[in-house]
Amino acid sequence: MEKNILDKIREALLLSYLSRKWIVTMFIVINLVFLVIGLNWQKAYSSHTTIYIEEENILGPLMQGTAVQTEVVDRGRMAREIIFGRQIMMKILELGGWMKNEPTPIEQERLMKEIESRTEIANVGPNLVSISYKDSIPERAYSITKGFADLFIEGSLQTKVLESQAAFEFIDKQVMEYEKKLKESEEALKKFRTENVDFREGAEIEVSRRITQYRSNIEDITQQLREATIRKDTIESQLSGETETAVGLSRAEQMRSRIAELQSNLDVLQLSYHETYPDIIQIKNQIIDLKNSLVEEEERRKKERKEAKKRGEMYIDESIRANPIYQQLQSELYQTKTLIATLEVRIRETEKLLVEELERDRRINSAEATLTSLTRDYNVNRDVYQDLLRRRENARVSMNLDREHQGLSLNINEPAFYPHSPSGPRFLHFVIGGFVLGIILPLGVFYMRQQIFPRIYNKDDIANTEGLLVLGELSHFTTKNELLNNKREIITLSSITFAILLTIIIISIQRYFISE
Amino acid sequence: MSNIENALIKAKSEDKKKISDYPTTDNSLIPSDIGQMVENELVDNDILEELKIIHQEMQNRKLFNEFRALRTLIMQKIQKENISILVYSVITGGGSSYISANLAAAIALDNKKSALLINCDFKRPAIYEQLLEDKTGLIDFLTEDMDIGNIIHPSGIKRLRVIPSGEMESSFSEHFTSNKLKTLFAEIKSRYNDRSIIVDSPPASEVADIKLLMETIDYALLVVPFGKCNDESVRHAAEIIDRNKLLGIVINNKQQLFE
Repeated sequence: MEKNILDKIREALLLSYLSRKWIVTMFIVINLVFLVIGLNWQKAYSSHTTIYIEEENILGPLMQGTAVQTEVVDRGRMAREIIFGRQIMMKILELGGWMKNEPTPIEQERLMKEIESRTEIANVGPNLVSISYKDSIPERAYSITKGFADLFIEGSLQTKVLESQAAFEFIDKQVMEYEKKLKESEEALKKFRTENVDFREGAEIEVSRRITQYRSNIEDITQQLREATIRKDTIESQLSGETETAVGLSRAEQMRSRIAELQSNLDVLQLSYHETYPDIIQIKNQIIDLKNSLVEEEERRKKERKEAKKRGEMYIDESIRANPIYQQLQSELYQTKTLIATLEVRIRETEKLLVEELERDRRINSAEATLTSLTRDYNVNRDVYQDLLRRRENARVSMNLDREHQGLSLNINEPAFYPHSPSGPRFLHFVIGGFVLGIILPLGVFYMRQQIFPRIYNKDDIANTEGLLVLGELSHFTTKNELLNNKREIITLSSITFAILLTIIIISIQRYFISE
Repeated sequence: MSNIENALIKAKSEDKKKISDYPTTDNSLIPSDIGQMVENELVDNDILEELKIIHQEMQNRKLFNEFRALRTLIMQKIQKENISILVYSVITGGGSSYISANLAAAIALDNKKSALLINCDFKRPAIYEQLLEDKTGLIDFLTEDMDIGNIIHPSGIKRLRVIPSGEMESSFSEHFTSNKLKTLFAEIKSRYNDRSIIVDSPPASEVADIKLLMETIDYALLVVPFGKCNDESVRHAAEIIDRNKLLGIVINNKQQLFE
């Protein structure tokens, strides 16, 4: 059966009552421990101051755009950095009298850490920084807080001067660098112009135009060449063996015609005369001679044709050569061949020119990219340089402003005060704390014990023995002696507790009056 | 407890004559009516209260009635005569001696019934043994040749007899196996018609002893001390005994806030 919280508390209280010796002992020990701590607790006196940091001043609007005012963004952080710096902390150590004992550097470090842990620096408003410091001695709490404020103001102004000076020096260094870069850019441009004399404005267009012209020329000449070649081929085919017969009779044909003619004459004569007739004999001889000559002629022609074929030339019969048409064709062929040769030379020449122009075009393009790059570098450097020159002058003015302490004004808004009463937990807090904890802690321990290690206190606590009957819950048998002892014990414990509490109260009252 | 002992010695010396008249052979063992039982000099109520044993005139009626109610409940549950009940605790010091003595005393309140309390927890002394002058007990009976009458002692409480543990012996539990123990129980039961035997047993941690004893004992009662053990240990202790033989649980020494 689940117990409710009241049952649990009741059980814890019962356990506590049964263990009353422990409870009282714990109560007394806790109270005494708190009393001792309270008695030995070092009183802390706290003092604080606030500093107003004025961002704008009269010079701000006047110098708008000319002087850049150095801004203090996180004032709390800046204050911490300045105050906890070694320089100020050493002064604080002297101010607080810690240096009288001549501490070693390690001890100094430790003291600084301690002071740092007792100091709180925070932004309390947009322009307000508060510095709080705690110390066991009220005088020292006051003097150190005041010292912090004074040294912070001094340090801030110093920091601001150094900051604006550093800014000026930085810009000045940059100006020098850009001046050097600008000079280098100018030199590079000059050198380029010297090296690329023929590179002038509009050269690219001219080259482009020429390239187009050359390409057009090449196309024209190629066309002409193609036409001439066709013409040449036509003439050559006209002059070839196939047209030979059409051109005119060859010598062999003439011979055959003569033979036929003589044969005809012979036939006529043979009709009238005997074979022995001289004319017939003469004619016959002529025919024989002619036939022989014809054979020879054919042989010669065959031979010549073969040779011509071997040479790869067209064979032209002599008879044809003598032909006036042939001669005319031949003349034309020569003219065409001359034309072809001329055109071929022209193409080569034009192509050479085209290559040269293309090369020039490439050179011009490359030079132009280089020139663009060099010009851009030069322009950028010139612009940055001019800007930096202006900024350097602004920085110079800002630096002078800060030197004159015109850029930032720091005022103590709330001066450090002398703490009359200590801050933090007081003696009474420890006494009350001890009393409350002395009651709560032991009860809590018993409550937790019952939570973690539950024990059986009544029949409802027995859950796992199903079907098993709880026959009875038998009360504690208190004998007369036990009763007496219990009474004695309770009286003794109460007396001790009362005595301790009384002592604590008396000490508290004494302490209160002493501190008052 | 020295004051209790002194009181007892004083009471006994004053009535020495009466005690000497007490027969050497235990008349109580003669099977006869309970009313004829020869009683020893009765113990003073103050002494009984110091020994935490209930009596008719005690002022704490609540506790007195709680024990009476327990007795009645057990009797109603069993509804048999001549019963034997083993009383064992979940942990050592859980109050089995206290419960067994008071249960026996509660049974003996009824003048028609008698009770015999046997201390079988040899390792731990029982407070009720302070009632006895002669401590000859169970071990002596089992180890020596002895008459039963020599170990059954009147307690100074009407109708309540006690068998103390006797001389302590470390390996005594081995004797629980002997037939002599069974014979003893059988004989004791047969002597009176309505005699209840309450056995004060070792705690649940001594499982073997309890199991051996339960071979001759009819029922068992588990004592759970108040605020000293958890649910788990109660379950383990209950598992030792056969569920049919286990009468139930009693929570001992229950305390109330600002009692």
